[in-house]
Amino acid sequence: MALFEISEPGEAPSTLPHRRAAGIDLGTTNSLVATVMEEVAATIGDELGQHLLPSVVRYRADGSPLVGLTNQQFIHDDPLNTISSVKRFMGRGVEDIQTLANKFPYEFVHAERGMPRIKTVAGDFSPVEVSAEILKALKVRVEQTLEGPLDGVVITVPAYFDDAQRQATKDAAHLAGLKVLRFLNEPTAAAIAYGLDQGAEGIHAIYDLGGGTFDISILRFSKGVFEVLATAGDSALGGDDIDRAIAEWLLEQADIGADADHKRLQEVMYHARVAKELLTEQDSVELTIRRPDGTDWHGQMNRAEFAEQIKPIIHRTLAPCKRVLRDAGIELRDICEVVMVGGSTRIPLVREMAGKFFHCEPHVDIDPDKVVAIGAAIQADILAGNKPDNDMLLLDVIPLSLGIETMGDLVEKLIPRNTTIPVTRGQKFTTFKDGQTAMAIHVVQGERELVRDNRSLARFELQGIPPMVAGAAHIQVTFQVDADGLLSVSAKEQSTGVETGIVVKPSYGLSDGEVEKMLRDSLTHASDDVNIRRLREYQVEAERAFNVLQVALNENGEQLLSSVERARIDTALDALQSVRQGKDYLAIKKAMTVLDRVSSEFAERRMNASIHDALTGHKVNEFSE
Amino acid sequence: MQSLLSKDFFTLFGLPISYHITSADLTARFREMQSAVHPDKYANATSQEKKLSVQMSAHINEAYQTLKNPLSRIHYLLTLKGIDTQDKAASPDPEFLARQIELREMVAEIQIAQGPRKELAQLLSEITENISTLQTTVSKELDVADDSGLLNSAHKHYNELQFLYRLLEEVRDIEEMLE
Repeated sequence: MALFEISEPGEAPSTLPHRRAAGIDLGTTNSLVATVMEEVAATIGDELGQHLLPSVVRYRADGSPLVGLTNQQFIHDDPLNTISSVKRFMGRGVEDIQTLANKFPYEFVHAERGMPRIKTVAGDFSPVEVSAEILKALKVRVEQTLEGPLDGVVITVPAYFDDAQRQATKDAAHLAGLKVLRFLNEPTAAAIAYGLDQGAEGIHAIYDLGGGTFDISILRFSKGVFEVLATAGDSALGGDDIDRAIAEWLLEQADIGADADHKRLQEVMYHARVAKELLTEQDSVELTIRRPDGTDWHGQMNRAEFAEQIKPIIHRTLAPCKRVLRDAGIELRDICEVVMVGGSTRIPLVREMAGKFFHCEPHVDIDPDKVVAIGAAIQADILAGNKPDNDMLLLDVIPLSLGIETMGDLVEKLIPRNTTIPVTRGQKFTTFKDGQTAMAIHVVQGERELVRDNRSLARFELQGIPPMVAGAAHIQVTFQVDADGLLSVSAKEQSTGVETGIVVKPSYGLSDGEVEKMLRDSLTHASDDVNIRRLREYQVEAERAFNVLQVALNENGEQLLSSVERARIDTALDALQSVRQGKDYLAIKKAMTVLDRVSSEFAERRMNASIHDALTGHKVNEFSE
Repeated sequence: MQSLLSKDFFTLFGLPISYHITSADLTARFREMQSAVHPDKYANATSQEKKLSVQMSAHINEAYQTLKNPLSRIHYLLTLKGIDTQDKAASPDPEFLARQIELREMVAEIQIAQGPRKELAQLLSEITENISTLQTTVSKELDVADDSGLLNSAHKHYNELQFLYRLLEEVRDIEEMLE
């Protein structure tokens, strides 16, 4: 292999230049960013050497929000404006938050539909915007280290996140100005970090108990392919609940009522967290809690008391463990390894109970806080194109069944849980009134039979159905879940071939218009300008499209294209070349659309050729073994 | 591309159109093809290629799932041979109906009795045994190319299999609840 390549000025490169890529673990309690440098993936620290960025955002009346470590103290001083554990609110509705809100001090602004907002001195913010602040802080950190703008990131999400939670994360990344290469499930990221692909072939369980979410995944690794067999979990179960259980115990011991003010409750939560952390190393811990009347409570908590309080919470992780085995179609004895991920797996009782359930000693070699970010960085490096020889393949699944509402509040399942993604399913619909031109499809996610027991994702309104008599229109609706686990819907009337327009009304998310507005709002406060940012995005995208196609043409343009076809693509490339550094984003957009169109046939032929090669050709190294 | 999407799933994987496929071959072909088309391999490609890759990858996933599972493989073979499985014409044997009722009663009894473990295990093994016998029968019927009598019989046995698989799930649900 050539170590470097010399290309003449103006000549097309035969490989893509090295890209700045990073992996981001956007956690409930802490977030991290990692990148691959000189073949090693590592997390990146701040100027003080702290790698964990607490997922805490403090809004101020004047000035930009503060993110991270220095905020811990403000949780006591300024609880209403200091937002923590925001991940638990992502993609959640008002009613979900009302049950959670009793346990959080913030004031929520209740929107009549969609995503609730949190009231602060700097204005009302949605969980998406709060998460975007955390992402922006991590972006700055990694861009300083890499000395330049990021080309792409991989962001991890709990495997058990539903579509609304994933969409919310996607919106946050968009607001933060990140180009997302892939959303990767956290347990899968951990498996990559552990290099399970380097080791023995077999079936592994990944037990991931984080600050606010629990995931259990069963992965099979064989011949370079990671296959997620099944995943289960609880997207609202984690270290937060442990803290709360300890806090309740402390309140009881100190004889403080649960009606104490926010500040007091936050303080007790803080002591609970400290006690939890100390008890992973020590057998007992001394505590002092200030009561509302100014007197102090002094006391002790030992490991046995701690275990007694948290056992019911950890026990809740075992039901998903049982279910995942059945869904994966395997027996306990098939599992060769259990990997522990997430800060909460530091607790000895968690390791003990998980180990006992799976009948094996859990793996804890990599720091459970960092392992997910490291795996994401490795995947980002590969997806960005920095590892062209890597042939690792990841096959993930959809965690919860997708269905549509039918008559009588019933759900018809379209895509069952644990189906390998990407996946598409078609469904035919017809009109029931003469001349009907629109209809709505309600998509839900979950395992229950009644619509109201599942999570409502969105209502898709099909518009522009050609008017016909009732029952004559045949509308083929295609539901697609991509490799990020994100749903999209398209529809076509079959007799006329008319594509129907679709308006998406997310139940708990943001519409595209709302995201756009937030982007504008956030940028007017900053020194940035929305037009400059958009132009830059198009310039980057154009450069990428230009380079990618050049590489593709060098690879097999000769074999796959006639001279006429080649000339057409070259013309479009020249047209893009002449505008891509310019100031007119519309011109760039137009040139890219043209290029897309004239190269679509080439794209198809390339894919056909690569499938053909996969089935008939063998790589040289297979013969040299 | 169109040609690949319109091929039957067996031909897509380069396998003979038969119930008897080697699962190792199927899996190997599936992995080779996913390695060529999976969206992760096109993270930096043009938007056209990205779109195609999601489409192809989803298609290959569907083909793999259909052929991997014995019940859906039988269903797919029946469809390829022009049998409409929605068609209820294939009336079940009275014998099987009687057996069906018997099995249902056994499940209900176990459920009411809070399931003595031994009987539950026995029932499970009986169902799986029945399934395996029926699968062998169907596979032979399907291998005889175009005998309409045998195809109808295969259709009937497919319906019976469907019942047994559902029952198996129910018994496993009970087993899970008892744990």
